[in-house]
Amino acid sequence: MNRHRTSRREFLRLAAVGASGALVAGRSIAQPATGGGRPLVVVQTAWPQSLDPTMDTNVNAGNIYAHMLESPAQYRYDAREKVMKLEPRLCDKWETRAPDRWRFHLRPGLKFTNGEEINAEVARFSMDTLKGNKGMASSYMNHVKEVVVVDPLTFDLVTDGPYAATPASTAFFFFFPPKYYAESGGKTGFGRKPIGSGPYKFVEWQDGVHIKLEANPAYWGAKPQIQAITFRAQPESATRVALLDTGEADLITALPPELIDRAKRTADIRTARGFRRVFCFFNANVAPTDNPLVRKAINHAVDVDAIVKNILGGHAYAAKGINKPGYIGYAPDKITGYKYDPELAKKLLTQAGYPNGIDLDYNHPVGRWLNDKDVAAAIVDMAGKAGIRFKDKGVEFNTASSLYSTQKATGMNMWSVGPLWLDPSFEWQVHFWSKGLYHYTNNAKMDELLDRLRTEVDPAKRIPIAQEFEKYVVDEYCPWLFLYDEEHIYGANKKLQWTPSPFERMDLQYATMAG
Amino acid sequence: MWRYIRRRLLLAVLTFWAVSTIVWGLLYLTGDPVAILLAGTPAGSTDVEQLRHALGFDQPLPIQYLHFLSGAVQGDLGNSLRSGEPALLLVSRRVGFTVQLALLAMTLALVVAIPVGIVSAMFRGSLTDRTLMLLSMVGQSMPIFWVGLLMIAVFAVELRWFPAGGAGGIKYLFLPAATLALYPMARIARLVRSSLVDVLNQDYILAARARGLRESLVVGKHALKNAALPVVTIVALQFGYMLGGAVITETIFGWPGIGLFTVTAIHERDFPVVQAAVVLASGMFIALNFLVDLLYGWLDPRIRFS
Repeated sequence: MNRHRTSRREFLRLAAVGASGALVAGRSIAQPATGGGRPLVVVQTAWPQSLDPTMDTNVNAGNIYAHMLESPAQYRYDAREKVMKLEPRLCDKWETRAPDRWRFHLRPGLKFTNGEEINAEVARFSMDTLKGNKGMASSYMNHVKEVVVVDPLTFDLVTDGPYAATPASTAFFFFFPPKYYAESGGKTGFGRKPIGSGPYKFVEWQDGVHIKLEANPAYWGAKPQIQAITFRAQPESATRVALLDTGEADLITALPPELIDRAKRTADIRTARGFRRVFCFFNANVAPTDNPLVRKAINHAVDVDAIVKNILGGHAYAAKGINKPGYIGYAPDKITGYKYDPELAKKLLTQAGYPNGIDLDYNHPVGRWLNDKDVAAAIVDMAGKAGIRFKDKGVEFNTASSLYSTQKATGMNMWSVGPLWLDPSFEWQVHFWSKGLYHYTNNAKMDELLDRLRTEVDPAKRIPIAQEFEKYVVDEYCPWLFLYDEEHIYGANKKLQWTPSPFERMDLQYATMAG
Repeated sequence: MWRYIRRRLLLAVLTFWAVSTIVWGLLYLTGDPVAILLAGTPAGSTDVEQLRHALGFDQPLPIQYLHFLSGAVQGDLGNSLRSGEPALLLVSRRVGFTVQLALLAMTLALVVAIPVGIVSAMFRGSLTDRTLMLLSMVGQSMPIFWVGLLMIAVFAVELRWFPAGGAGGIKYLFLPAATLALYPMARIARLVRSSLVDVLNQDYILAARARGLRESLVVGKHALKNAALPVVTIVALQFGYMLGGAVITETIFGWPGIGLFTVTAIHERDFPVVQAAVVLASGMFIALNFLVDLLYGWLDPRIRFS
């Protein structure tokens, strides 16, 4: 996921890739078909540390275990409407019983691949395991107080106060077979050799070599067409493209835009607007960014469309607000946003009492997002023309991360927010709630609206709350420099019928291979 | 000799302790480890406090250091934050890959470098010498990732002799090993040449030649052994670096050695794993240097008695 740009290194890399391109040019490369026998080979950027979803929450791990493990609900991409939809999975329905109690009904007769039954006790065991493991995912279910077993096929999730996104959150609540989980040695054993109930089952994990899955012949749902998947890891993007060239890979992730033309010679490029939003947040508690006029001036001083077009090669989507396509209440027309207007920016600064401009820090990680260093440089340059003099402080990601979450960041700070369950209240509370991990804002109205959004369980009533919140945050409070969503770019075997989703889950059970 | 060994061993242990302490300290240099770990999760400030407590980061620094040290002595460097497995176990799974790569790369380097160095020294000033030294200078100055990508372009994509990347058998090992071998190969060749040239200018070589010995015997028996000392040093150092993980080569070829593993752990903020990897790599480096010190003492008696 780490894409950075160092001019000399990049130059040499492109030169080497170009050389290989020249060698390949003119000869057609026959990609072997992935028929019944040969597995589909997926090459990601890194190896997972564990296939236990309570432990390793990285996308490289999730892409593997989500083919084997199942949850009460799931998100599935509707390619026609271009939205992610929440669907029933292990549970065929759910309803609210009280503001803080949701009832889930399991499908009857479901089993794990080792024969263990899926029942309400399994739900309780899996929740206890998630919380007890103290892994990376342990805070995901903070809102759930307990799982109450009603009967073998019914369980209640009791939350600590009303929490609207409870059903959505169960898309990340994976079920484990209790007997096997204990026998395998708990999280460490299960994480190396998981058993689930999904469309694929685990075959082998040879450390550093491959992780193999095969179709589950007894799967209760639609059976996958692709019979076997092999996952591998390759951090260098040019090598991932080479693997695609030689037919050693059928699907590669995180293709950088500069290698697209190269990859196109032998493969298809598949893209999706991602859910990862890149933005800069202001410290709204200290001068000069405590003044909303200053924050708005900075938004008017930066031409986001030009950044997307010229620096990101069009592989991003300018976003004027904080909500995302497919989330509840998404209505970009209802917000005004900020047009590029450096003259207005200067006027706003004067109005704010800074006729001679302002000096402030600009912290940003380097090498985290696509061309981030160049984006930062462009922002500094554009803002400078409106009298906003940024001190460019590019640092390594972990350093920025620590600075931000210890509330020590001043001025403006580049960051991103990715999805978990696709509910805005989850992402917004991290940044706009006075008790969130990054509480650089402190606003009673935002807290109040966020509380209502979290607790209102009627979706129809949540829409206006989400829209009111976004309108207030964007057009009045203005806590961010609003930037863009990244694009996910994949290289794929031309015979692979598969559409990527904005969510970084591959869901290869829905893919097919021609020929 | 025993006194010499004892002294070297003590020095190795002290170095290892110092390195471990630095590694432990480095963890705190990038900032609050718990805050870094939870970045981007829905965690609130209470989660930060809970995790800090669970991981022992809420204790005073000297206590944390003692915990680390007592654990380290017992081979326990904590558990991976992303799998719960012992960090040292995770790293040790990758050591085999690194050792394989380093051994093959060093073998390739030596097999080429020593004959090249000898030939250059024997015919110094000749066209052969100049060509070989020019080639080795080029080899020494080419960026390793560029060489790696070219190797992939030519031998994997074009000729299809080897896989482009990954692991799973000897055929996967060859391209990364050849890439990794290039720099030490060039360096060792130049060093063999220069130290051999030095030795060949000495009086005892003149005496050997005056006695009418064959040139191959003069170089092979009398000169090479005396020219070996600086070469042994460089070979050991280069081998030590390789064992520490050839980060760039491993990254380009997706070779799952400890270099790539450590970089991934850094990106994923899995600090115990990073610590374990660095401690293990430094341990191997120090052990190797200790062995080289012993070898010195054996090769050159003056060293062990000084």
